[in-house]
Amino acid sequence: MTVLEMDATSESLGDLVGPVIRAGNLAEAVIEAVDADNPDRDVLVLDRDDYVRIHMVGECRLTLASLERSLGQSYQLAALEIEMPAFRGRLKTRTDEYVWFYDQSSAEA
Amino acid sequence: MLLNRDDWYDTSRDLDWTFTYVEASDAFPARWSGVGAESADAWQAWDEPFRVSYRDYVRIQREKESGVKAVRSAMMRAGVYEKLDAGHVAASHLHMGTTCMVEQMAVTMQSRFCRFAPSPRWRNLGVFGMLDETRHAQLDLLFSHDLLKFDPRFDWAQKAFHTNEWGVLAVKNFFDDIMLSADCVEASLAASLTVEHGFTNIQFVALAADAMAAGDVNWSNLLSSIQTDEARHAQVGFPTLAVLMETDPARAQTSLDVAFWRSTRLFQVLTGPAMDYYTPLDQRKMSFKEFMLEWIVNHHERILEDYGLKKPWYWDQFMHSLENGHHALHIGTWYWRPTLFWKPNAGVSKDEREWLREKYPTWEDNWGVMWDEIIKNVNDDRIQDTLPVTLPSLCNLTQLPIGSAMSRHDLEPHQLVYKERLYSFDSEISQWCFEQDPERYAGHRSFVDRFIGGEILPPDLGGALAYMGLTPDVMGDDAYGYAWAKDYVTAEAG
Repeated sequence: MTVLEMDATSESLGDLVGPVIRAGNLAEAVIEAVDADNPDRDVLVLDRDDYVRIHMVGECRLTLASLERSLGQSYQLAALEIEMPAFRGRLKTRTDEYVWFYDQSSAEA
Repeated sequence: MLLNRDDWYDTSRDLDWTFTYVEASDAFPARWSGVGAESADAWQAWDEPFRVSYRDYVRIQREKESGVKAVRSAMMRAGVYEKLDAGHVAASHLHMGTTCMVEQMAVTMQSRFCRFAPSPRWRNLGVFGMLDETRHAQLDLLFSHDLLKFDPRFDWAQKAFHTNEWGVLAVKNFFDDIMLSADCVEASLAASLTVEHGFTNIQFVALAADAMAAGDVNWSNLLSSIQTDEARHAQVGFPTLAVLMETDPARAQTSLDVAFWRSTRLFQVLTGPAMDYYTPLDQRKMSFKEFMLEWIVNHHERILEDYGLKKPWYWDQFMHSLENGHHALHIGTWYWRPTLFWKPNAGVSKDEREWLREKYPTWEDNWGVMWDEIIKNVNDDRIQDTLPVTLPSLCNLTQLPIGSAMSRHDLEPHQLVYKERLYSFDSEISQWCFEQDPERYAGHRSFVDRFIGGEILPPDLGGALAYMGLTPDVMGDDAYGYAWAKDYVTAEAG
């Protein structure tokens, strides 16, 4: 739906999932790609200058196709690791898609 | 048509042995795998979340190395290190001395995963983990070697774990336990899951952000590049936890609760003072407590709940310790500064104190009153009264000073007798950890046990410093030569 800067309330949401990327061009491209890959949902961004949290509530998809479009060049999702010192939630990695998620919402956990 | 990784990955990771000449339990003894015959089949379900192929691994690691070395070269040419604040520099001395050889110990742990882990998929990932940790130890040595010409304290990257410096003994005690002595399952829960998925983020991402703000681009870049490896290989902890939650959830809960507390205490020494006292005030991103809430409470604990774990039983005490423990350890390490191999910044000038009061509303009552005494002694030119003449009593679990886990008002003794020996602890929680498996901890003799036992001669502070390997060229002292205390001269005189 839109890219929002996290505030104190959204920062403490229990069900946030998604990558933490070192600040720079790749982080900007991931924000754009996540926004495209998860239509009608908010992307919550927290910029700590050195690293950027790029999160969604419950599930966060990132596809290779969207990231390549954002970057304007070919890419391999495995290379995301080079700039990703952490991520929040569970992760499923496939050649063309990464998905961060929880099995249970915080209300159920 | 070229297959992509997903087409062949499942086949490639399941190469396993069918034993004909030996029993499986001889090839994979429970002592090292951590898995008994009764649950062996359950480990077939072990499934890593973060897929890695050798081809991808080599390509990506090569790129990481190029990035780190390009920054290193540029920063060395620019002479960045010489321009850094003395308080911040202490944080990098502390890090290199206490962490470099832990990375080397992790090579051994990952090697054990390669050989003894109860799933071929896990053994396969152990190879990458082993290469990762080799990279980390070598990068730390390279970074420290570059800076050795500026400060002999960087020699402690290699030397520290061959000394008996008390803080290093505390670090070594924990990692000997969870990396070198633990079976694969225990090591995975304690080291991969608790330390690497949780606590190293505080040092390698959050403190790296502080370091970047302080202008230490080289160290910051090194830290966060290392953590990109950790984020990947820490993931072996989750499928291990998933299997254990099916077969023995009580073991998982206890192992993680013990590792969580021991990690909390250790990072209160390693990272807490660096963030809240050593980093120059105008370059601090957030407080240690705020970073812990972000990375440990919201980021780390939440996913454990997703696997069905409960918060540790001592959660309220943990939160109380978060408010106090690293402040206690900071005033303690500053006071016992000759026993350190770095120069701590007191970090209690008037402006810094205002920041501490804002971040920690109980700081003044708990710690400010003690610093007032120190400040008075400094300004009355009685430095000798701000220096130790004896040693603090140490916890037989964490090896950290008793009285440093909670506020200064929480000083009730926690002791037990096990096999006719009296053991003392810094908290109810540390005593509980010991009670879960007394034989695991009982043999170790703390620094003070050795002192009382006559191993440290002459039996005085000078003898203790010599035993720790501390020489005048590295011995700790106030980072700014007490200049910060002058803030209070006028007020006191008035």
